[in-house]
Amino acid sequence: MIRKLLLAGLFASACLEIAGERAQRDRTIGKAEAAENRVEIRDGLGAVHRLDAAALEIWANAPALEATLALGERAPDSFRLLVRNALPDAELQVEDENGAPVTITTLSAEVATEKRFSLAVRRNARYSLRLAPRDVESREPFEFIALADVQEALDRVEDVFAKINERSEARFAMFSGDLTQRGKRSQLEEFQRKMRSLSLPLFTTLGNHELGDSDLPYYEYFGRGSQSFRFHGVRFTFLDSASATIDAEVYDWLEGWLELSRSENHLVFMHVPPLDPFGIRNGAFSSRAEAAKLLSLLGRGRVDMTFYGHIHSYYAFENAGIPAYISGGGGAIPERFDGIGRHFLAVTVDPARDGASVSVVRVD
Amino acid sequence: MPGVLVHGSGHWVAGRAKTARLLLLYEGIGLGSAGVSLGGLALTGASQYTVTPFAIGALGGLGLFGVTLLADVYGVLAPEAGTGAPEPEPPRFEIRSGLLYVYDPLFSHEYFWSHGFSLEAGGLRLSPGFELGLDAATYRYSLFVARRLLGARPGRAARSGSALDITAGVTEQAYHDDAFGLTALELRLDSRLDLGDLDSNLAGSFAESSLGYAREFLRYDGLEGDQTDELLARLGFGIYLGRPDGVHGEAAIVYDHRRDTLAGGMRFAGVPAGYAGHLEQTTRLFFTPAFGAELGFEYGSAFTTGLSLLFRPGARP
Repeated sequence: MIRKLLLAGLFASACLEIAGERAQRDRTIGKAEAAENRVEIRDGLGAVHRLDAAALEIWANAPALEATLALGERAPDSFRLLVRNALPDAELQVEDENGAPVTITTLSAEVATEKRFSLAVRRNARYSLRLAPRDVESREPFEFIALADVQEALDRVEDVFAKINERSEARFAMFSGDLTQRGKRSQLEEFQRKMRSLSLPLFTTLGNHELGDSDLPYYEYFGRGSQSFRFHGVRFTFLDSASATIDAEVYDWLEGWLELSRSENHLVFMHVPPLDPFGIRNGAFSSRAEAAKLLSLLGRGRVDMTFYGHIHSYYAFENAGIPAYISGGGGAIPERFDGIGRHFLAVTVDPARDGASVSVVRVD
Repeated sequence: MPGVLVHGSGHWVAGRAKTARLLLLYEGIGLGSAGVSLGGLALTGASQYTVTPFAIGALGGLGLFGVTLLADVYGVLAPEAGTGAPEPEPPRFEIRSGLLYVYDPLFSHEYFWSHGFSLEAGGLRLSPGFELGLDAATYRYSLFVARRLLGARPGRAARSGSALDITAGVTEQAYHDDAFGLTALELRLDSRLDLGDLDSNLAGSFAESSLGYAREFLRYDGLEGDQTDELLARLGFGIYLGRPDGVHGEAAIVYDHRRDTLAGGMRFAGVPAGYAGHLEQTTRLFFTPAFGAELGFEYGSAFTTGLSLLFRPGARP
């Protein structure tokens, strides 16, 4: 009662739980219902861009997607599925509720990361979909790209993408936020348009610059801010730290993800780092106690590496004994006098060993 | 609205041109400092090599802007002799004890016993204190040692409340429920400028500022610790309430740039993230020479409010 009175009376417009609404948005991602059809993507690992009587379009935000699709009375015999931002070698499997495989016709796609299919379906039936590369459960080493902070340099991000395309071994890119300067629909659409030149998918969380539009269209275009997935036995977790904090509900999710990954590599990505390597600047969490709480949790949860953005430079350091990297070289105003400039990280992970090897790839 | 933009306009309308010009001058200095510093931060991408002077310039400039705004409002609204006057000398010994309520959505603690005292001895002011969690295993202990360089001291009275102190301190925080702790070592200069010293129309008000550095040591149970730094900067405006021969005290509103307290740093909707400290509002009133109370609010990543009783053993009218 005392708390309610104090909060209502004195700080009605306060921002103490500033990321709470975004955690609620996270829970809605990957679910849609339209024209008597219903889709739900497991763990919200993709955003539903379109669902109507005859077609479903998904933006993938993970290498492997599983979904349930319930078709209604108005479904046609041939249902169209389009998945954007998918791994080029991803394959689709579809089963009906009896476990019987569904006939899939692969259609031609315009870019490497686009997957188009036609499914032979029945009305009033329920299907399980799985889109994943064959080696998703492999334990072989693999490479991925880590980057962040394109912001106002969106008009020349093609240079960065061209350099990423030269890393032919890389499977996907992990982007730690600040895709655009203000998070406007037009900017997010332009980012996705420019991504068509990428030969691999780019998975992302949001940064503080995605909060510039109060409607937060980011969620419609890219999906969740906080999520977790596995690839080659390695767990990848995005945390939404765009407001220099993490919502209490996301801490609960994180504890579950940490529990799932105790015996395997776990890499954690977020935009604002808990601690700035140069503390006086504090491009970091707004509470030192929360920074310590998170790092203690990650350390006790045996996280192997952390990747951050927000600071437009490159730093390699440790937090709570966990190797940490800040790579904010996507093109936003660079930190001067450090000789870094635009860059990204090429990270090679060997699932059989803890950690990974990280190299800086300069763009300019 | 004009008064918000052009500080001193209130005094100008009241026919106090000298005070108006003074406030406008300091507002201009504040805005200039903030503008140059924020521009420098943008141009350098907040480089670690240049961020410290630019951050100080930006905080100082914005703080000066806030102080001149509040001083303009105060000078126009306050009675001719001001709302009050400072105590001629600080007490030799003061004890504070009370209850602190904290609402932080990320921590389970809510209620603390807050206790401390300050003692002037051998030219130094010692101020130990603690906050003990009553419903969670969160504890804060602190010890500050200050030497007054300018201003009134016990046994050496002054009419002005202006003062300059150098303060060193250590704060130890333990958050056992979340398996971490935090120790801060700090050194800072604390100042108070009695605005009546600048202009008699502002008598009864004061500005406060602090500048310093803290080295922080973070500990995690069973893990390697971290070290980091913090820029200590406080800027605020206050008024004296009443005269020392009756019910008296003071009220102040302060921006504190530090983020390692229970209040942490403020969060904002939209793009700004992580760079701000917290706001404090404190009111102290002495009902008799020996007994008083202090009511405080802090707003950052958490909201805190505390009520303490104050006792000055041996104080005489």
